[in-house]
Amino acid sequence: MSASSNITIVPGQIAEIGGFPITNAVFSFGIVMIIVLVFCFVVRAKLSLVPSRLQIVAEGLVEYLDGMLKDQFISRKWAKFFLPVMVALFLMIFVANQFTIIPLMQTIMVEGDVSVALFKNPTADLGLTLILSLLVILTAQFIAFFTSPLGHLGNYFKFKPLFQSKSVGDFFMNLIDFFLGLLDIVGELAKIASLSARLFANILAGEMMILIISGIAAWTAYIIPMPFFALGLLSGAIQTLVFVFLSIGFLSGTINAVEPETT
Amino acid sequence: MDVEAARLLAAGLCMGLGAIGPGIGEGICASRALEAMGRNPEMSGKLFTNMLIGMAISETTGIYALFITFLILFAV
Repeated sequence: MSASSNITIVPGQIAEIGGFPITNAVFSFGIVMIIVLVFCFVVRAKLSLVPSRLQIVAEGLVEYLDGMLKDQFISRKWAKFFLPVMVALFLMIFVANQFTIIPLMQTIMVEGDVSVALFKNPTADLGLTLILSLLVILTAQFIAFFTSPLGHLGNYFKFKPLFQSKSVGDFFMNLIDFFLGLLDIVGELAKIASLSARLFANILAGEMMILIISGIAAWTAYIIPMPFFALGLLSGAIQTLVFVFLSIGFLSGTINAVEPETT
Repeated sequence: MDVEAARLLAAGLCMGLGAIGPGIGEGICASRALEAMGRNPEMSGKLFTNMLIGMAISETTGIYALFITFLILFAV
């Protein structure tokens, strides 16, 4: 199996700073951040009343996410608060997903005990996607907790309706509700796992598909992987949208549950 | 049955069984979206993007299966 030698799930270590290993995924994500920063500064510097093409793209993105946030959140305050976060998430994941198309990426190697590639698709490393989804879920939990501590905990430990039940049948229904509330705690953990594994496995699967197809025989290494590259570009774009969409859904679901029902 | 044969069998079964659910799900998703587009053609742009998102989400279990298959084949 010649193809299997290239396939690794653990990112390779390229340097070490003060005892902390620097993997190629971390290094590549640094480059992704620089690209996003440069994009933002270029758009910011060229803002004008007659928009350039770049400005139209940026404005369209911000408007699209703004509309999505306003649909989901009950209060305008949180929609406004999360707009920059979501735009940043979108841009970073989008650039990171399309990192494979930069030429020479797979071919520059770092020599060492085991030579590893200098660049790696950052979202094809579970570390990054896990951190991003932890960020989303923990933000939702913390904001909901500090908005209304008892109300938020009451969504998981439903003691209150249990003591207010009026008949025996009502009591049993509330008992079921109580255990379903406990199950929601497991649901929060499952959200972290599913959100991170979805993005990670999609990008990894796209990469591995190309590796395997080009590793089957000598003649499959050139033209044949091209449709799979195109598929990778498409699924990278869609997965970005899905990640942002689900993040907004989880955030608004948790935070709306503790908002007062005034609007 | 030795370990190597069991591993190959497990990988094939994992991917094959894992592909059934997403296949059905995406089929339903596409059929409903097309139905709605046929009824209301001016909405088709919005429906198409939402259909792609729905497909990507229902595809997830298939992707999990593919990932487990890779793990079985190359990492275990």
